Amino acid sequence: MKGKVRGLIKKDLLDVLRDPKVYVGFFLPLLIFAAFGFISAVTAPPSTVPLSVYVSKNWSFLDSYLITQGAKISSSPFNSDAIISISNNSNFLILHVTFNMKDINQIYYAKAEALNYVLNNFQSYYRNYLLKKAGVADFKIISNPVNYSFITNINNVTYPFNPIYIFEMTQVEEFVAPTILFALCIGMAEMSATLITVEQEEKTFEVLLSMPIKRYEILVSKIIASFVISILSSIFYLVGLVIFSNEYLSLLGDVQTGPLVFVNTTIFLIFVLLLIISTIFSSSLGILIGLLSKDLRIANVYLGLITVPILIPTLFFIAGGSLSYVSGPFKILLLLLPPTYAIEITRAFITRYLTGYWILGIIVGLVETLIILYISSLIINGTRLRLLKNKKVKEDKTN
Amino acid sequence: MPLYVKELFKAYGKIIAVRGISFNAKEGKVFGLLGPNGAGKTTTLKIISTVLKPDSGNVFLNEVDIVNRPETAREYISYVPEDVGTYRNLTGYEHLTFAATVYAKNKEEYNEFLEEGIRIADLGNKIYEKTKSYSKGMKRRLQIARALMVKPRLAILDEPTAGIDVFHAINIRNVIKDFAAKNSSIVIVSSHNMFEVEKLCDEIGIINQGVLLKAGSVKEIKGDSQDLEEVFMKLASGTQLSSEKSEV
Repeated sequence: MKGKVRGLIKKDLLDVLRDPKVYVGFFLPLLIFAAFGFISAVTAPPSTVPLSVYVSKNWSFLDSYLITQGAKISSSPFNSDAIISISNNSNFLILHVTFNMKDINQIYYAKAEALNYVLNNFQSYYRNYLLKKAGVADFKIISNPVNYSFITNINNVTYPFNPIYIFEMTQVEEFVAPTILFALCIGMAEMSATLITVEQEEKTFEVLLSMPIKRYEILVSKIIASFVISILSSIFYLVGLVIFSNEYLSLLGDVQTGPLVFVNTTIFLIFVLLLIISTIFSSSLGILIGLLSKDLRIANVYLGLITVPILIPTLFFIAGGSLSYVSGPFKILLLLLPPTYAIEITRAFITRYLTGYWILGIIVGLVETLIILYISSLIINGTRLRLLKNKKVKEDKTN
Repeated sequence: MPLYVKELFKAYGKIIAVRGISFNAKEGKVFGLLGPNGAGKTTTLKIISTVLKPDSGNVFLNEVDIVNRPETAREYISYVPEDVGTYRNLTGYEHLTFAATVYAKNKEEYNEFLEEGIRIADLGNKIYEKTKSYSKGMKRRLQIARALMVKPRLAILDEPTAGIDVFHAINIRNVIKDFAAKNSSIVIVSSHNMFEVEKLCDEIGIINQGVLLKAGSVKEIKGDSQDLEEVFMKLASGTQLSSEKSEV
């Protein structure tokens, strides 16, 4: 009994471990962890961020406090991160804070954090100042002498909130949109790969190749079938996103109403276009994988491998990365990946600011899809398919 | 419209699958390629069915150059690979409609093909069920019906009865023989089953290690021998090739 079990285990282990492609799957977590570590390092906010503040009413007490906290006092409101104006009622000091940001990224998040830290400390600083001054005995005033009102200005769209609140609210959006998009792209690649691989496994592909159907007609039909399914999946994704946005982002208040709280029509339509291009790109990858794979096991290994390039932009944006703040080979890598652009534009739902990358996204997505389909058209040829399979036979024999 | 196969040669890298195979097949007859596993039968059939291109050699279906004008040749060819499966979520009827759509030139022909396909498949009401519920024999009958219903000038059937029980195998053999005779079509089958080839084929070619050892009518091949098995063993023992091992 033990001997039989040992024999069975040995057979299974040898069968799996002698296939070199299996090791790709082993290295996958290593690659993903390395990619995630690198992205986290790239997107980590700097330990010190220069925070410039413009104080509209000259009050040396506040100015000197801000300087001791490391902030820079700006002479003009136009190039400052925050504008503070001061008013008084009979008992309280009121600071009206306008926070300006151009993008939602880790740099502005760090600045918003720094501003909040400084303003919170100002409460106790000012309290101590009042306590030193004679005549203030009201407990309420002593415990909470400064009131704040916030406006966050993102590319001329104003929200009556503390920027930290905006960041907290959008973090969920920043996580949800890319993650589901990632799942969608991987799903599309898998579906297309399966569509071809099953034909190869069942040998129905050989039947198709012997029929009076042109090679390009076979490829085009596969592509169209995959694309139709991609578009259907995209529609479901969009409906889900609208439901999510309606339920979640509407919590920001009555400032904006409607299903997609912050999105304007142009941004939404560009997003739909980039989303469809991303899924079509993923489907094309799946078709190529299907043609290169002898069976589903090999296809799944290759599919695991392509999760890495799709995962990179997903992780990058979830970690708060911004294309404006990266450079060099990593930026080139991001720009070469079509899902980057669909994920990047989800930020414009809130910022309402198009960075211009979307034009590049359409070009990159379409060009890469066409290249992949061209390679697929070269492979979708009986001789080439047979050679690929034969290569596999030889590999197995060698092993 | 006879079939001429001339000096076919096919290698996959260093592995030589087919070494100069030549034979002819006549209209209205069933030609069988007989040989053990890995003899080169499937590669030869794939070349004839246009799925593969040979490294050298020619195949002509009457005037049609199959190797160099495969698009034209495919109009006259139907191919059933060994162990071919089906689209699991399509019904048998949908399989047949797909083939009819590809081959039919007009509505009348489409209907005629479909009617013939249903007749050959002989699956009763099962034809309207998804093929994932079919047995291996039913799938095989469906594939053969799909190939023969379009009345090809050349039907290529790789191991048509492999893995099928005796009852269904007899049925399929009868269908193939009737088809060839009625339509004056050429049918090429491959098999390693000597008994089957003897029952089904008018002419045969014995193939081993990529080489066609002998071709002719069953009677001619058998000569004074008791059965084909004996002939095959004699022929095979005389062709121990010293070069690379064949692999198909």
